[in-house]
Amino acid sequence: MNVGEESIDAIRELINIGVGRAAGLLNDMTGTHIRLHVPEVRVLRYSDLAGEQRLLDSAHLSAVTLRFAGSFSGMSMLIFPEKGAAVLIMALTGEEIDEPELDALRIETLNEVGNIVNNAVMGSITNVLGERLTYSMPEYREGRIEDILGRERSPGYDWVILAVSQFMIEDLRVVGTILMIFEIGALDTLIEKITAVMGSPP
Amino acid sequence: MNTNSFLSQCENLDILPAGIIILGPDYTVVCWNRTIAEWTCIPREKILGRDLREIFPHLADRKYALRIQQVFEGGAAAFFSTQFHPHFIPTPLPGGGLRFQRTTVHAVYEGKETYALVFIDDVTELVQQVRAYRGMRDRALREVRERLEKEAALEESEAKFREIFNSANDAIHIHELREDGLPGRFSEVNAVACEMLGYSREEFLGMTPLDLVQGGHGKPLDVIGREILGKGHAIFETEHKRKDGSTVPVEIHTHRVTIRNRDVVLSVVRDITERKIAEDALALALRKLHLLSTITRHDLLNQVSALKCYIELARDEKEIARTREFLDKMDKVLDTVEEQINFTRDYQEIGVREPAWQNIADIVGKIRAGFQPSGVDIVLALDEIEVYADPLFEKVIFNLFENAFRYGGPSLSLIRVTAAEGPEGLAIAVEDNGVGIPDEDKKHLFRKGFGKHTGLGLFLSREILAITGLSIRETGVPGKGARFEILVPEGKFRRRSPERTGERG
Repeated sequence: MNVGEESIDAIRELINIGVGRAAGLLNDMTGTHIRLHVPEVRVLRYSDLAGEQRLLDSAHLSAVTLRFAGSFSGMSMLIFPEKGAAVLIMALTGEEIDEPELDALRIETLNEVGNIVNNAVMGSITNVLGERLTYSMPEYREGRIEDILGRERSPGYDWVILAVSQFMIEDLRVVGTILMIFEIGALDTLIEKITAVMGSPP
Repeated sequence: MNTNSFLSQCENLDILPAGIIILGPDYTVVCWNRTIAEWTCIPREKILGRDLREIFPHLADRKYALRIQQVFEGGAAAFFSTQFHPHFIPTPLPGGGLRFQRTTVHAVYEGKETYALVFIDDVTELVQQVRAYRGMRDRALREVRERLEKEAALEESEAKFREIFNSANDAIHIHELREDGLPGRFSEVNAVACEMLGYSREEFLGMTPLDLVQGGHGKPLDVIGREILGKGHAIFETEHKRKDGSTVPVEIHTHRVTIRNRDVVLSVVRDITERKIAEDALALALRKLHLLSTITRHDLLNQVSALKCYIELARDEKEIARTREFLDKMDKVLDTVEEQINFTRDYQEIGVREPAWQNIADIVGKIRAGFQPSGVDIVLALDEIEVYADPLFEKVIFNLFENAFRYGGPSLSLIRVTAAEGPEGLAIAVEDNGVGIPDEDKKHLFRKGFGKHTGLGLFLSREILAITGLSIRETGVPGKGARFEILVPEGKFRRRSPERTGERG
């Protein structure tokens, strides 16, 4: 499948709207001035995901997942290196970050942050497209990227939208990755719908 | 809105240990299970049909409202964590305080209507456990950090100590302390200590301070031990032996200290060679001044008195022969005065020049040449030995030869010079087969003024030798010959090495 630049631009815009809304919510919740940027959006094969060494080459990744089903199905996921996740959560809760560590309460909090970002991004897409999807409960996973993906019992994934997301709190910068993993044919459907809503590419 | 169906479901939800609320799009409570009713003490019948925000107004806040709204619009479930939203529905605990909650809001559908199902978990126990864990972890981390800081401070302190230790001007020894107060093995020495005595640090660590001591201490060893054990410190002087056999006078300040829970002695060892030289020079100068003033004031006055007496006698004498006799005596008195003046000149020379290593065989060989031919055999049985002495040492040997020739009598036919090492050091013997020295004279032999000639030679000899710690004694047998022994202590003599002989060419 060949995803055109216009489609990627449209996806980037929808994701940006979503993360902007997520940042606003996090600001309201925490009283902390948090900024969220998405400097990079790419489409790649699901089979190539494990080769994303720059972003996902860590033995300790923490991920919050959200499965969706409907006219296009798949899974949205926010992933951080475990240390980065601990730093982000401790910064958001105003704790001292001498020894960043994820414990049960912080994992819950990360779950909420992931829930907010995933919901905002999916909400942004479904609102624009006027689609209604059904969602599973948010789920926390950790380990290597293969472990996180390997737990998925539906291997029929095809394409992935990868969005690098930067969380900035004062002078702190934590980089996470938003993955939207689509089942076979789902990305085509999404792009068709985007094209239909936004107009055909020239 | 078909509330009956939810109400019937709500009763089914009473068995769950979680608080469950179902809200209509306008936040109207359509289900309120028994658990949440018990937690809030608000019975179901009093809340059904009411807007939840009237009872819990904080839920109208954006941070709740926006996300619940998303759920009503068909979005994914909203998850409210304990850290950000500890009390979604504030509910008191029996023991005081509020119940900690983890809340999820899901969309549920009834016909065309979307409802929000609020699922509240009581996680109070989990929060308490995590807080206790965090407390323990923080304490453990703090303790580890403090220990690391202490270790770092200790390392820094040790590094500073080592720098001071090695850059001190004096030698520093650290050695163990035995229960009887005597010193044990060295446990550390600084670079100056190694440089001062020529031993490596490893060699030091196999020794005790007593292995270094040459001769005795300035005060008895048991007294030093008692002072260290009692007062915790002691100051004393001694001589340390270098690896090459030479010695160095030292002043030692010892302190009993505790290092790493061990009772040890830290000694600052100062090389006092310069001070000793100055002290010796001062003592010599004082002795000379005293002696010279005695000679000038007492001995010379005696001679002047004698001279005046002879002048008076001569003046009154009528006979020419008797007058001449007095004049001869006056002449002798003047000779004595001249010799005494010469003595003061010689004596002044003692200790003026630096001591030096001198070869005995060379000196004796030169003197022997000056006395031959004399009809006396001069036998030299000496190795190549050098003695550390005042430059006037040659004059001492010459004086012994001169005495042998002058007082040996007619039987003198042999003078022999030998050297032998013994417990006291090196003994250089100058002996002859003359008449020897009577026992009654032996004890006065080295006193000033004793003797048949000027009585100054042996006295001067002893003074010259004393400058570098050498001594002299007479051990001959009266009637069989005189035997003078010059005793040279350890460190003040050395055997000349072949290389040195070569250097002398």
